[in-house]
Amino acid sequence: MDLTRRKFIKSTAVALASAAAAGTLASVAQRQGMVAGTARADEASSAASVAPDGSVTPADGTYQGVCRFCGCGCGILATVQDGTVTSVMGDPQNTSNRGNCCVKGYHLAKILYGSDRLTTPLIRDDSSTKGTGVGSGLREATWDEALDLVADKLKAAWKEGPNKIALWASGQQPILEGYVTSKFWKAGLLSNNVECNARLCMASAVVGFMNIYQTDEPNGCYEDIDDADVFVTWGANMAEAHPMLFSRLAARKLADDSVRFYDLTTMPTRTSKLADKVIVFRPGSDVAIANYIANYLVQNGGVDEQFVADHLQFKRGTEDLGDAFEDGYDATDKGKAASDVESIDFDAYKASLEPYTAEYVSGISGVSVEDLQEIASVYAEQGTNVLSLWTMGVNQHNRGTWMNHNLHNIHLLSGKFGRPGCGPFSLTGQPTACGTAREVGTFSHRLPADLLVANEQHRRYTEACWDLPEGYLEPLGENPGMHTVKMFRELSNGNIDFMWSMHNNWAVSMPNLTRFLGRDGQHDGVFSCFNVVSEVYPTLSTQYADVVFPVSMWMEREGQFGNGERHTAVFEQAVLPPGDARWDMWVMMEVARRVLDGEKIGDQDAFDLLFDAYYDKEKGAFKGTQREVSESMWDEYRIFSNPEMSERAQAICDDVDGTYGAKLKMHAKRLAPYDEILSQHGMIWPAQQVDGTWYSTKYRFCDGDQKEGYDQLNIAEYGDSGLAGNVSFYKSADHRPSVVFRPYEPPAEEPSDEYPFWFNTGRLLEHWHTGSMTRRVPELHAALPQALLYMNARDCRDLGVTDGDMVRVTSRYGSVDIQVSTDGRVDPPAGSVFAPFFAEETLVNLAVQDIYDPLSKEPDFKKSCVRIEKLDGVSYEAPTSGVANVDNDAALATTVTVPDGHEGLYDRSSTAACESCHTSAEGGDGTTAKLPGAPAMPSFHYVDADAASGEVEGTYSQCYTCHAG
Amino acid sequence: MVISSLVVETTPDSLDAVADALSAIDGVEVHEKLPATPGQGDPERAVGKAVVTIERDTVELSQSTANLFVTIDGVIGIDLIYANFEDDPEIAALRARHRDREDPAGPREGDDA
Repeated sequence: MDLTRRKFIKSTAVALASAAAAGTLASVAQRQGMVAGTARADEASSAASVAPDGSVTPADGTYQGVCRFCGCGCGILATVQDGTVTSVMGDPQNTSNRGNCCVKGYHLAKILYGSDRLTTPLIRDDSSTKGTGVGSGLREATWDEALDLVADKLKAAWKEGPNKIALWASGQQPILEGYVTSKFWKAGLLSNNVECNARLCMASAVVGFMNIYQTDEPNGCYEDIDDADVFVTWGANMAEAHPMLFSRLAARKLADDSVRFYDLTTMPTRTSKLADKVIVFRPGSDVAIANYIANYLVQNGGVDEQFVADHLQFKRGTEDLGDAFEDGYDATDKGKAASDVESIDFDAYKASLEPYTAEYVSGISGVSVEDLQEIASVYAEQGTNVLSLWTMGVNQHNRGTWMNHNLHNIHLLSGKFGRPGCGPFSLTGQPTACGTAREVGTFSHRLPADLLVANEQHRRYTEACWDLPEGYLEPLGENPGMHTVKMFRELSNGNIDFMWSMHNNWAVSMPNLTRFLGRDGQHDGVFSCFNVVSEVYPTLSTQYADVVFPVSMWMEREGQFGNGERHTAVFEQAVLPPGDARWDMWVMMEVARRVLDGEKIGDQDAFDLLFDAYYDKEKGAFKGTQREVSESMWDEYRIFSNPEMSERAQAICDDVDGTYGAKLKMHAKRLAPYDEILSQHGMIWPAQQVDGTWYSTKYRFCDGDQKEGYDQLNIAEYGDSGLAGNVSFYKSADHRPSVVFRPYEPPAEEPSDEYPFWFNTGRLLEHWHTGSMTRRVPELHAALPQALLYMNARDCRDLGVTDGDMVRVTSRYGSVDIQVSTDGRVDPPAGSVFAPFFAEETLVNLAVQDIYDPLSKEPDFKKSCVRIEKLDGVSYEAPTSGVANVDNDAALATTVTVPDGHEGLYDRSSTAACESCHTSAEGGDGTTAKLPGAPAMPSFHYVDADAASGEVEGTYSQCYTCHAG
Repeated sequence: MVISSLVVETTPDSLDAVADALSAIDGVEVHEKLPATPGQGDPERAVGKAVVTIERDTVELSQSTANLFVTIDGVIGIDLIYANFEDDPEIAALRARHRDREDPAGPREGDDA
């Protein structure tokens, strides 16, 4: 790099970081010319250069984006030079993160340029080759051949019945792609078998919100962190999983000596290090602790009586649910009644809590009576802002919905709700689990905007928004479809003929992979089902695919994310996809037009009725740029939350002829126009217009000035003013959210002589990307190796294992071999162990149970029971195999492995033999191997990153160490 | 050379020690130290902040370097502010390979039209 240029970039970098530290990033970024809107992809191009998938060649400049690596959903700015993303920075105008990013931001551009990006459609001709290795059994194909094959298979399976097909999407699928997916599957194919990985992550939170408030998603916002007096984290390792929000929490805590932080967890983590008190409880006993706190509020004057009188109703539900061990659980009496509730009065609710004394709960949870009293007393303090934050520990729980109920119960009883800095806040796990899975409704039981397939008025309303004949969606109400675990269980049983997955990596992230990958000798459905995977990189899921569609990723196309604070933001198409990769939306349209060919809805052509507004099926192309197409789709999607845009929808919403006995309150989720979301760098719904200006609603259900982010206009339209806490629960039945008594019931399985350890799985900070990154740096490899089994020192001593030993972890579901660590990054108590879940070479989900919460159907990834055995004579070889750690659809794999049949061709201690085929020195660009088509040694493997030199850098002189097969 | 800048947040009394530890890492330079004034009600000033650049050959090495920061005692948070990788040789090489789609409107194998 030219020295002048290097100095300039460095001074820019320092100026921006200095401004960020001082809190003046926005103005400095502007001075540096780093503001989005300096470029717009489709303005730079004439209409003649628009590709069939709506992509254009973007001009140089700065584009808005959203980070895709965790649930925070941080805004970023990406600068493009000569068609390449050359820099990224936090977007100071995006209110979710105000210019901050975590270290995962480094990979936002790098993920676009992995050496093994998929650029050509792939077809597997022999299904018996599934699971035999990266690329094994797959051949290149044209788009036409791949699309025709997929459409034929989908159509044939669909004609056998709507439950013979399945689509599994994701909390990383952009909003409009989810919207069109749902429209194709639910309206085009009349199948409810569309689900997503948010079922593995947020479903318990969703069912909690819907049961309690009859509307989904938290009422508060990230800004609540800045106003809290006390933080309580429940089953949440924010330091690893939500780093940006944790920085904000730390800043608030240290700013004021009186701010307190309690961490309630089954095992101390990096989050715990900042806490004033860490309360370690026995797995599953959080439900009892929360009931103790509610009981304490009742017994010690902690109930806000006015809040109760003005706002709450009380219920109890079906109890003694058992667990979903068997495939037929949902159809059992208990399974069918799991969601049932009945009304009770406040006194009956209080009486239900009485058994939950400190002594009783201490016995269940292992938490001392004193600590229980201390945490309960915090919720009883008058005037203190308490912010409860929770995530997967609460959601991935055999009673996850109940635990969500119990956390809301505490806040509702104590009236700690609604005002800034105070309330129950459910953190999300993926950047658009809220925006897509929950708001669009890519779930079997959902329609867009919180609407349910089981509700007649909701079906009529959806028909109106989609301009379908009245009654057309009736079959959806009759055939509920399958939730995710059921879908995969039925697939493994051979009962699903066609499965399409996108934006996820199910073969790594599903539990009980021993069964679902057909490795148990009993379930081989994965081989007979026709699997389609839309992907950007090879993953374990593509190893089980019959067809792989190569798709555009992240800012290679336009998309939208909605994060955990109801914040909707756009990421722009900033660069072109590589090779022949295409926008997922185009792939969906091309499959849809083939499958729907000759199909009618009423007397109209089915495809035209659904998609003609934005897609020209004769030309096989969108009717405009991705920006134009997105605006057009957004206008249609907005009808759901702005019924005045359609006379027919408005009439059903208002129940003008009294058919349904109730009006819908669709403005409660009102979305802003697309250009407003763009110009404001994202908005928090419900968005409202005051004097012609659009405003976000930061504090939902809380009355106050709309311009300050309070829910003034919706409360005026649907709610009541002057009630306790200035709150109005206008979306809830009778305007009263439900406090439902939920008892403690034990985990599905508890440690036994045969399986004496709790096995917990989760996420660590850098595991959103491939561990092969750190492996290339020797000094880091020792510090941050691959997936480890974090263990308590006493357990290690008892088992005779030490750091670095390999052990076999075995549950009644399967086994996994993994290396032990006692470094304390995750510091389990004796009897518990922890491992991160997405290392493909360790594949911990082989041993994780697939039992699920009977209400939310979300699996319990946190409480499998296992035994641990030392593997004698096996020492750790770094890393032992694999496409490296591949997470969901980000799939950052860049490590290739030595395939079977290579034995004897290479030398484990040198590069010499490998170089004879894989060197890229001749081309000199680090991308073309000497042997045509073989993986090439990348530039950074050579001295000074110069492939042309042909001189391999010392670190990379033993190929086998990193590429062992 | 990949150049990135970060704000490393520290506990109030460990800013100097963290800054020293950061400076000792290859490619890391500390440009500014903002001492904390905790307990004054201002979250912006509650933590120590070190303004840092990382200069390493590739994004990989840059992030690996930043990942090291969490192992330093007293580090609370690491905010990536800006990362410029226009000169990352690996990205440049890969990007060159990706350029085989020059004109998005041009005919491509498998197009229907």
